[in-house]
Amino acid sequence: MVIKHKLFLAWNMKKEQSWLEEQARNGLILKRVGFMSYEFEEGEPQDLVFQFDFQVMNKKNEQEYLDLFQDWHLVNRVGSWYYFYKLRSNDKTDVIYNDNQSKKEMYTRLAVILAVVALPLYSNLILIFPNLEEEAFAFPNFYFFFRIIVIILIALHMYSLLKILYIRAFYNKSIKE
Amino acid sequence: MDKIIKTLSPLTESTYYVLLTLQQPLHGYGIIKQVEEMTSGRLQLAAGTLYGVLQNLVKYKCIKLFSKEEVGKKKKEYVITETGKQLLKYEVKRLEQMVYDAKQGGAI
Repeated sequence: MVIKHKLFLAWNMKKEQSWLEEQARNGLILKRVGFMSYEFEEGEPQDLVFQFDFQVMNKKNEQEYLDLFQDWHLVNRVGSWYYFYKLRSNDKTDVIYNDNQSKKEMYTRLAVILAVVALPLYSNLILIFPNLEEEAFAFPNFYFFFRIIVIILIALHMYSLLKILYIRAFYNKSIKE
Repeated sequence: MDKIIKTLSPLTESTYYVLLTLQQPLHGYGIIKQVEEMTSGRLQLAAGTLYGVLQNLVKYKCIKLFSKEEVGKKKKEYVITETGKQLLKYEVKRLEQMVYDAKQGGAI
C-alpha cells in the first residue's frame, strides 16, 4: 500500500485524472481517496481512465445513481465527489459526461454548493472595515491577525468561485453555438 | 406545456433518445443498453449525463416512475408521460422540418 499526498483544485480535474492514470500505468491502482490523500495498491500496470462527478444527493437516490455506473468502478465518495475509473477503451464510453449541457450542470451544482458553504465566511465581511478595531474588540492584535486570515480566505474563495463560473460559462456558450 | 417545450427544446441528443426508449418502462442502465441497440452503437449515453437527463425529465414531468403491482423491490423504472409524449411529438416535427429544409435547399 502506498499513500501519496497531493492537492488538486476542482477546476484542474483533468490534471488530477491524468496523474491518477499515470499512477495506474506505473502499477499503482487507486484504492481510496481522502482529502488531499490518495491510497494506492500495488499491482499490474493498467491503462485506466478516471472520471469524477460532483453530486449532492441523499442515500435513497444514491443506489439508483450508482446503478447507472455499471461499466465503472467506484473508488469512493469524498464529500460530494465521486471517483470512478474503468479500463480505457479509447472510444466514447471513456467519459461520464458526453454533452456540454450536462457538463455545465455539474459546474452549476459545484458553484452553488461552493457559494452556500462559504456563507458563514462572508458573515465575517464586516471585519474588513478598519475603523471597527478599537471599539469593538478587546484584543486588537488578535483581531488584526484574524482579519488578515478572513480577507485571505474570502479572496481565495472568490477566486475559486470565479474559476468555476468561468468554466461553466464556457460550456454554456458551447451549448448555444 | 408551451413553457416546457420552450425550456427543453431543442432537446439534447441524450434527452431525445431517453424519451424515445421510455415508450416502454425501463430502468436507468436498461436505457443505456436500449439506446446503444437502437442506434447500432452510434450513441453511448454517458452515465453522468443520463442521470442529469432523468432528473430533468422527472422535474418537468415528462417521465415518471413506473410502479408495478408486484411485491419485492426492483430497480426504479421510468416511463414517458403524456407531457413527454407531446414534447417528443413537437421535437420530431421540428426535426422533420429541419430535414425538409435541407432537402429543399439542395443541401442533400
